Amino acid sequence: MAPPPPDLMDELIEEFLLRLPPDDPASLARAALVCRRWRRIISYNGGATAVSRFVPTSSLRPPRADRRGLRAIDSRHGRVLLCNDRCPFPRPWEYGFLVWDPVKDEDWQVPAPPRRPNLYWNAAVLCAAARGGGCSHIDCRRGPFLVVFMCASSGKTFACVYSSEAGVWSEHAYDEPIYYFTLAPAVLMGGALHVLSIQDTMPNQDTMIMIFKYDLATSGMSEIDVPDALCPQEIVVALMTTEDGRLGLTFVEGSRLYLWVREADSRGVWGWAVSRVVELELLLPVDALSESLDVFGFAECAGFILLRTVIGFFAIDPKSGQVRKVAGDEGTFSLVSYESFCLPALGASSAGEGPKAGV
Amino acid sequence: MASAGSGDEKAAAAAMITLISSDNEKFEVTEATATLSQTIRHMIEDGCTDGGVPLPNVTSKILARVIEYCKKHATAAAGEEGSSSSFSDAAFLEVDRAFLEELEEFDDAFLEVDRATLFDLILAANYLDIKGLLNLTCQKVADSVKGKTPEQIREMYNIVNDLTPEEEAEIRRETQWAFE
Repeated sequence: MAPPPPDLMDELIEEFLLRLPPDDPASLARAALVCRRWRRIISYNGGATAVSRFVPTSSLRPPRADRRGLRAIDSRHGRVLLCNDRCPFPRPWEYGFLVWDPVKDEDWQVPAPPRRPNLYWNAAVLCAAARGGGCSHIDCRRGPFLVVFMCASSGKTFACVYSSEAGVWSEHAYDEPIYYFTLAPAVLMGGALHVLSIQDTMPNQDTMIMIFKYDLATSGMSEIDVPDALCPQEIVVALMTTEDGRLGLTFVEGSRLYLWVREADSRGVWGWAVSRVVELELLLPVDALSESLDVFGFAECAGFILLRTVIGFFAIDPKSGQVRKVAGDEGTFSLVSYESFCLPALGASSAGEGPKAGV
Repeated sequence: MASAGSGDEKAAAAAMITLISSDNEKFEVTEATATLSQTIRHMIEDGCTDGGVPLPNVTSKILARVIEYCKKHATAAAGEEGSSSSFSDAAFLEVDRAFLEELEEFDDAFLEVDRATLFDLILAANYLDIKGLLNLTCQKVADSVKGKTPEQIREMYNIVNDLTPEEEAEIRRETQWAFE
């Protein structure tokens, strides 16, 4: 047997553990099983080595027989919101939702929401503390959560909230105008959920895209208009947040990705401004651009924009221009980005660490 | 280096420093090579290198390897500075690329060592504060651990498993997805 390697200080073990590939969190989890010392170093630094990557749920977790036919609607704070995907449209008002923790493979059945919409709805899952703040959302996936279900029904707009603590739905109704929601992912910003909706205006007038803002603390709603450039409404839009915490939106026109941001002018009037135009021809493979492509969503946690092309899904980081293919095009209808934090054996203390040999 | 004042630079480049290993072997190196180590750079700045720099934590075997690394990378750094003024952009890029490729090949060959030597190099890179070498060697260890089972890692690095079966079960339960 080769002579044992010299002993390394903790900070040097940390140096190479930090260099394990960030898109393979399993490496870190396996390294935590090597010995107490490695586990302690990884646990202590788990908070700093946040893993935020796109992982197809099929590789993170093979689909279980009883999860077939489920559609991912939303993901936030370490949880994924799933819904029975009945043709032609998922119908949570019949089957309810499933909130899933992919790391522990645990799920919670959420009963059907109290309103039956006329097909147009959207929903989001989030940590219950998002209502009042005070949670870093690093390790809250075992804690209480909320599911917010937004829909138009019986001539009104409803926001229904399920609290896992209370185990019941509550609802708030808003009179006209009526908002028809799409399943585009919601964006959580400043204690409010922002979702896209199509607003029904007077007869014979065009419908308009609007941003419906639902305040989690007050249950109040308000609306935010979109840039004029988005009429006509055929353009597929995704809401996003900017690094400095402002509301943004993004869409593709031709081979260009446009990023808009909401900002106040010198008189304090809020409006939209183009913050960046990204030429996709320079970033995507040629065959991805052979047919029209769309924005598919925004990964709130990682800050990536998801693009759907004929050859599959790409994640683009608007800051660096880095592009990564995240999924093929094999019958993918929904794709959510999932973020969690790797903190192996959180509760384990380092006391009683045995004698070391080698590292 | 073809600029005015090159006489001074040449004099500086020619200044030699003596490094003394733990087993008392002396190594003469140029200041440019030695100052890849931040630790030695600070000693030179403080003017305390007369009579040689004792390095009680580094053996002659490892110091020789570290100096080999520093020589190569110091040349690379000097080459980059010198070429930018004397080549057109395209030619500069060409030279730059060839240089980087050569450097990469050197680094790969440099890492062809047994695990004990690799760890000694990490310790030396840390003690001498040579960022590039620390990065290179730590990445090598990370690459060797990647994709391995805990048992394989223990065997590779002679590590005794001191986790109790209960602790192991707990970690596995927490990170079950990593083992599927």
